[in-house]
Amino acid sequence: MDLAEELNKQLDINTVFRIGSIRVTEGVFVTWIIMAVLLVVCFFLTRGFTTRNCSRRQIAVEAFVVWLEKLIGGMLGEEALEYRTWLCTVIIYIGVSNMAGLFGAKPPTRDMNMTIALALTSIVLVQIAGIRKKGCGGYLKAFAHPVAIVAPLNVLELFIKPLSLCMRLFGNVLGAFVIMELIKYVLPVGLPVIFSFYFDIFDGLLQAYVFVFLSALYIQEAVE
Amino acid sequence: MLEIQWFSIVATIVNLVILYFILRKFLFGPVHKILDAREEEVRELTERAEAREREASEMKKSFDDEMAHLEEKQKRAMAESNAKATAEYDRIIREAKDQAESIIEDATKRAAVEKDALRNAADQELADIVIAATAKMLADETTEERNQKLYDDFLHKAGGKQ
Repeated sequence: MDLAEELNKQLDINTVFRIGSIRVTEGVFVTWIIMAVLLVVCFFLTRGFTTRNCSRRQIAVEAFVVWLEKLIGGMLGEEALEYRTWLCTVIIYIGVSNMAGLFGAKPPTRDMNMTIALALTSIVLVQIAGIRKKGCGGYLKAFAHPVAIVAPLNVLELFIKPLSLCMRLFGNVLGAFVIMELIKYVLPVGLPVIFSFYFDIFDGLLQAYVFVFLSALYIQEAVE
Repeated sequence: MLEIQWFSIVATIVNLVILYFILRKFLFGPVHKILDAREEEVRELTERAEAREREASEMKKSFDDEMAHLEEKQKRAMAESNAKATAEYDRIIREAKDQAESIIEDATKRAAVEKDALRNAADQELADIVIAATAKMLADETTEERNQKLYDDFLHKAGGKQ
């Protein structure tokens, strides 16, 4: 069946080019493009900032940054505010990645390796936050919190949390993509546009938000 | 579809870290810089405005003090000049009174002198008339009638004179 073939083809991770034995995949390549675009956009958006008589562009950028930092700062709480900028970066990256499909690129988040990497950074950050706040001893003791018997479960969480983060993001992006392909298969004209608003824009941003929200929650828990 | 590629994972982590620094340098950095600068500016402006307000109220206070001082001074000057004017008035009145008194005195004296002079003149005239009458009496042959007439004349003259 050509739909299954088409889906499989779309879901395959293609190698864009090789450097020796290293395969640079689409996900990594698109991430580079996203980084370049973000660099250029940010560079031009933040040029010529003034303290008075601001341009509309400056007001918009300031409002966006302040809103985003407030949003994520609110999730993190007072004690973990220093990780705010990192989580802002993650939410921007996932949000833009999920919407890359709108520009004809394959979203990097549709590659499970990308979501694994994101989940790894998050869980490493959570552990670093815990160790920095409580010290090594306090960090280890926290595993036996609230009673010693739950220590194995807490250790297990070290693996469950990143796995759930990774799979949730990947599964949602994959699911959204499959549903969109099915809709396109059923009615190629008109209908996909409406659903594209939900699956490509809203769901993409929602998943970015959920990923960052859970990471922030874990960090907050770790510094408590 | 689900194969794990270590290079992709490592590359993505590195990419994320690089993106973190890019966004920090080109998005969050500039925005925070401008927000801080604006905050600083607002703080400075507020401070300056407060300092000016303080200065203005101090100036107003010193101005009010000056005004009060001037008013006091003016009042004192008024009172002083009033007192001086009263003294001057009194002095002038006193002088005028003295002058008037001396004029009256002079006039009275002069009147008395004149009266004396008149009386002396009258006495002199009476004496002359008496002398004249006596001489007439002595010169003329006297009769009873004539004497009577002379006597009457004398009385008449003296009375008219008196």
